[in-house]
Amino acid sequence: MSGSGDRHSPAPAVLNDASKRAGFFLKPVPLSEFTFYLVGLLFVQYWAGFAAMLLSHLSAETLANEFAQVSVLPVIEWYMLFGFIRRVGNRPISPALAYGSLALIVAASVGVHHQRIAFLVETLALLAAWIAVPGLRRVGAILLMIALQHPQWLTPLHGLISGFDAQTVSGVMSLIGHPVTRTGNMIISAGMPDGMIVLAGCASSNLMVPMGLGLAVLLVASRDRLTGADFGWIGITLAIAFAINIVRLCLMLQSHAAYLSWHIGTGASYVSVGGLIVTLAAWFAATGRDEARA
Amino acid sequence: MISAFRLSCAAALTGFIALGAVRRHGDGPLADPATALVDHIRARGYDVSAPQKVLWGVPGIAISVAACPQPIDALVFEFDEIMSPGILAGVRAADPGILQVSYEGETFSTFDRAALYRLRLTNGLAEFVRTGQWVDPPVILLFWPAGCAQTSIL
Repeated sequence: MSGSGDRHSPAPAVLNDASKRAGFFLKPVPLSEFTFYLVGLLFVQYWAGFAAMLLSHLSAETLANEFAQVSVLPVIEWYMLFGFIRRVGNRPISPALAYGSLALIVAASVGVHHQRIAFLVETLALLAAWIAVPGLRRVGAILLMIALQHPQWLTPLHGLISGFDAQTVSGVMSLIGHPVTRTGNMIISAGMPDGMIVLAGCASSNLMVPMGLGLAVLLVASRDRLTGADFGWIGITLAIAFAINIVRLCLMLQSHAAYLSWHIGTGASYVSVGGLIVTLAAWFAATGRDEARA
Repeated sequence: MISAFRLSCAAALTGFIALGAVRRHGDGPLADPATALVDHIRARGYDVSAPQKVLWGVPGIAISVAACPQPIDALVFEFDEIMSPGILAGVRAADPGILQVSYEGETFSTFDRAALYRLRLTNGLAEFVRTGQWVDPPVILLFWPAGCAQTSIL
């Protein structure tokens, strides 16, 4: 018996090591640590392509073609998100949820060959997995709203809105005494006798989505609970975004030079800067009222 | 001691970078579909020139075909753009030529929305499942001058 016991004496030690190793990965993960590292990973994934493009195609022309001033909003949103995750608390979450979330990100990154589409898929799945976990649910919602701001998958929506824009522009121009002729999305005016067409890229939703979702992210990350007034601020911001774009389209109809300026030139930059200022102003106004009350 | 979760995240990040994900997923400037069309048309032996009608900055070319006395205008639209309600009506009003639609190598004599969506869904999904990439070819509108017999030139 003793001989047999001697022959197998290392076995309990091996089992012990294995169980320790298993335990190493089976321990609950503190929520703050989980959120910080996972969101950090998503942050790298979200911005990696942008950084790579800046490094490989850095020129004023590329930047002007690819980015508008309102594109600054996601930078502020990520900053606010990292501020929010410092407040999520430190209760433990199950290793299944922690490592499952991580595995999901790895699988989407490897399987989907487009950074932003992978990010959208991940945020949808993560929100579904986190919906029952307080704190995480809000992180998931913020991530999804950031993902939805990317215009690529919103073109069908922009296409629908562009028709409404064309009708509104036609109505506004008639109202101010400059009647136009409209065929579908094409508008012919005295200043643009060849006509101007409102393509999806010119739809108001291109400004409404980043402004509305951007403000929603900033508000969700800034406070514990959204109030009725917050939805009012989001509604006002969306209305202003729509109005800004309608004015821009009306100005584009004045002449070919005006069209170029408000489409891709200085005027377009004014619109983008205006959108950024309005969003930040609405955020300050909404949160400033709380501070004043406090 | 570094926790297992931090180690796992670091490993995922290292793998993400080592696998070239940054390069592979880079949001570089989009390839110009009009340039690709010009190359394709020239490879098929047709002459290409500037379009007779430039519509609202939409990329376009004119293609000379032997059987046609005048060049054929070709406009290159993003799929979602041309599918937007109200766009085709404007395009038709601006360019009255006889319309031919080319998408993914198939040619239609009318603007058949349902058929275009079917093609996009089946081909797009098949490509996505095969490569993980969503490829979205442009819709090319050809405007044939009156009196020309339409053929498949793309």
